[in-house]
Amino acid sequence: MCDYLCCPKCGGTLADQGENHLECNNCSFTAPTIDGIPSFSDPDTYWGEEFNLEQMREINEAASKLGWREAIRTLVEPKSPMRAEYITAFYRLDWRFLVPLEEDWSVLDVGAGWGTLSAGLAKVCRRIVALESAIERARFIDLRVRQDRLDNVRTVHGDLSSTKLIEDSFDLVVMNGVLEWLGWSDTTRNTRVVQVEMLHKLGEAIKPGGYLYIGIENRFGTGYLLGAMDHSYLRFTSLLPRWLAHVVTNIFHRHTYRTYTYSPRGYRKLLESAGYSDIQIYGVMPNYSKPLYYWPLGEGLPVKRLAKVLSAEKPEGFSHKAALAQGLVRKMPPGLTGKLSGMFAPHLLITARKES
Amino acid sequence: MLDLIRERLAEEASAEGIVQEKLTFLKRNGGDFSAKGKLLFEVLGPGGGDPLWIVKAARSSDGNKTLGEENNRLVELREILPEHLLPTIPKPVFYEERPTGSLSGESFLRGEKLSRLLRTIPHDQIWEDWKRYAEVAIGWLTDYSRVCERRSITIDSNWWEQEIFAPLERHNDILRDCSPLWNEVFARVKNRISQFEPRQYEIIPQHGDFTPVNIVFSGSDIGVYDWSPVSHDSPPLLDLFHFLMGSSLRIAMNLDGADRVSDIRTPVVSDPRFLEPLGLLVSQYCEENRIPPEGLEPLSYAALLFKILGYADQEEPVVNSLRAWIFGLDHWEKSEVGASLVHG
Repeated sequence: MCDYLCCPKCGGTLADQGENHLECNNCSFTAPTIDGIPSFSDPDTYWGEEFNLEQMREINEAASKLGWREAIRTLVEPKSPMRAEYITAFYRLDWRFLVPLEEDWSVLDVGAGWGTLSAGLAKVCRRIVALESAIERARFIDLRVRQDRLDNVRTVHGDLSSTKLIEDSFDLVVMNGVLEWLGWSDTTRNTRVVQVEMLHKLGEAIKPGGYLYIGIENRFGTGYLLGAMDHSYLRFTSLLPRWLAHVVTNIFHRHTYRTYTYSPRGYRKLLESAGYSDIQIYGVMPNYSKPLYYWPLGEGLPVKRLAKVLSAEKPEGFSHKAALAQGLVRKMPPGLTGKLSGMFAPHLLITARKES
Repeated sequence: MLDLIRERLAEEASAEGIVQEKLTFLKRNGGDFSAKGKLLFEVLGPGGGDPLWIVKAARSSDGNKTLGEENNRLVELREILPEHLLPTIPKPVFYEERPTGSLSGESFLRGEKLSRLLRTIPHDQIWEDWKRYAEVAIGWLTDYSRVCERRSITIDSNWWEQEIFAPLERHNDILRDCSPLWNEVFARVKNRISQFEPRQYEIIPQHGDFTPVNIVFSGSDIGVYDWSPVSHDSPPLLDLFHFLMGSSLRIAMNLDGADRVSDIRTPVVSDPRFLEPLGLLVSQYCEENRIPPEGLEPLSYAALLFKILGYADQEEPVVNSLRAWIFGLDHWEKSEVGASLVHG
C-alpha cells in the first residue's frame, strides 16, 4: 500500500502491485509504470533547460550503461559545465540547516529535476519522494539513486495537479525553483489563486508542525532590476504591475503572465493565505540553487560581513560590478544595508510551518 | 537551526553582555570546496564587525565523525597548552551531535588570514614582512612542540613504500593529468629518497593543515584554527613544511599577480630571500623536536609528498592545489632546499 499518494480520482488507497505499479482499491484508477516508475502525468510532456528530449534520452542511456556520473561528465559537462555542477554539487543542499532535519523524516521533493536534492537528503532522512513531471528526468533520478544504493528514494513521475498526496504524510516539503512555475498548471485561473491552492494542497500533505522549504527569486531582486531574464523569457516583466506584465507577455508570447514571483513581503502574504505560519526568509548568494552564503533577510550586519568576505577572498567570477556593490555596502550603515537587502536581495530561501 | 545555535551560545553571549535574540549569522562554505564535510555559520553580535563565534555544521556522516574529533582535539588541547598559547587557538563552546548534521561552536580568532596578508603585501616590503610572520609562526610551532606527547616513528624504505609511494602511485593518473612535471619530479624525488639512511624520529601530533589559510595575524598576535583530528600517521615536521610551501606559494601569487595558485610561475620556495630568515628558526624547531640536521631533508620530502597525497586522495581531487604543490616540489628538489636549510 502506498502511504504517501492516494488515488487522484477518488482519494482511495493506492495498492502497490509490484514494480511500483499502483492501483486504486476503490475505483478503476491505475498508475502505469514506466521502467518501474509510477507515472501520473503525460509521458510525452518534456521541457528542458539545455538538453532536448533526444539528448536527455541519450544521457539516460549513458547513465544506464556507464553510470550517471560518467554520463554527466561526458555528455553534460562539455556542453554546460554549470549544469554539470548543478547536478553534482554537494553544497546545493546547504539550505537544509534552516530546518531541524531529523533522521526519521519523510520528505517530498517537488519538481526534483536531476535528483540532486533528493539524493542528498536520502543520506540523512528516512524516506524521500522525488516528484518529477518529465519522465526522462524521473528516469535519470531513478538510475541515480539506484546506482548510489539510495533505497529510500521513491521516484514518481507526476506533478501537483496529477497526483494526490496523503494528508499529514511528510515532515518536509521541498520546492526549489518550483513555485514560480505553478501558474502554468491551470491557465484558466489567476496565477496567484493557483499558487495558493497548490501551496494549500501541499500544506495538507505536511504533518502538523512540519516544514515547507522554498528556494526562489525575489520579484524586485537586483538581478531583475539590472535586466536579468524573467521566467517569462522577457526582461523586466517581474517588476511591472501584473496587468502590464499580462499585456507585455500577450504581445510577445500570446498568453498571460503566468510566472509570478513576489517580494519578500508578498511571499509572506502568499504563504499566510495558504495557511502557513512561522515564515522565515533568508537572503542568499549567489543564488538559491547554489546557497554558498545566506543570512536572515533584513539584517544588515551579515550583509556587511559578506561584503568584507567577498572583497577579501575575491572568489572566482567576482566581477568589478560586484566589487563596486560590495564597496558601497561596506560604507553603508547596517540599518540601511538591512533594509535595502531586504527589498533587493536577488534570491531567497524561505521556510514555513504547518500549524501543530 | 539559528534558534538552536542561539540557545547553545546563550551563556557565552550573556558573558559578552549580549542577549541571544540579538545574535545573527552569515552562512559560508567551510574552507575551499574540497572541504566537503562542513559548512560554517559566522555568528555576529549586535555591534557588527568580526564574528564572535563560528559554528561548523557537518554535511555528511563522515563530516560528523571529523567534526566530533576536531572538537575533542580542541578540548584536549586547551587542557595541555600553557596559558600564553590559549588565546592562539579557538575556544570550543558547544558540540551538538546530530545524525543529520552535527554542530560545533567555537570562538572566532580575530585577525587577517596570513594567506591574504602574504598575497597583498607591497612588493618592496615582502621579505621584511615574511621574516616577521615566519618568526612568529615557526616560534609558535616550537612552543607548541614543547607541550605535546611524543611517540617514535621509524622512517625506512618500508615506511616510504607503504605510507607514501604506493598510495601516490595509485593516484598516478590524476597526478600526471594535473601536471606534466609529475612523473619526472616523482622519479627524481624517489631517487633522492633512496639515498637516505633509515632513522628513528620522535613525533608529536601535528596540527594537520598548518598553512597560511588557517593562520591569522592581528598585529604580531597569531591565531591558529581548523585543527584536524589527531593523527599518528603523519610524518614529523609536517606542519613546518606545509607552512613553508604554503607561504612560498602565496608570496609567489603576490609577485606574479596570479589569482590562483595554479597560475604561479615564480619558484619562491628556492629564493634565497625566502630562505634567509629560516635557518635559525628551523634549527630551534628541530632541536625542540629532537630532529638531527640530517633528518631535515628526508622529512621535508615526507611532508610535501604527504600533502600531495592528501590533495589527490579526495573524492574530488583538488587539482589547482596539486598543480601548485607539484610545481613547488619540483623546485624544492632541484634547488635542494631541504638540504640547504640544514646549513641555513
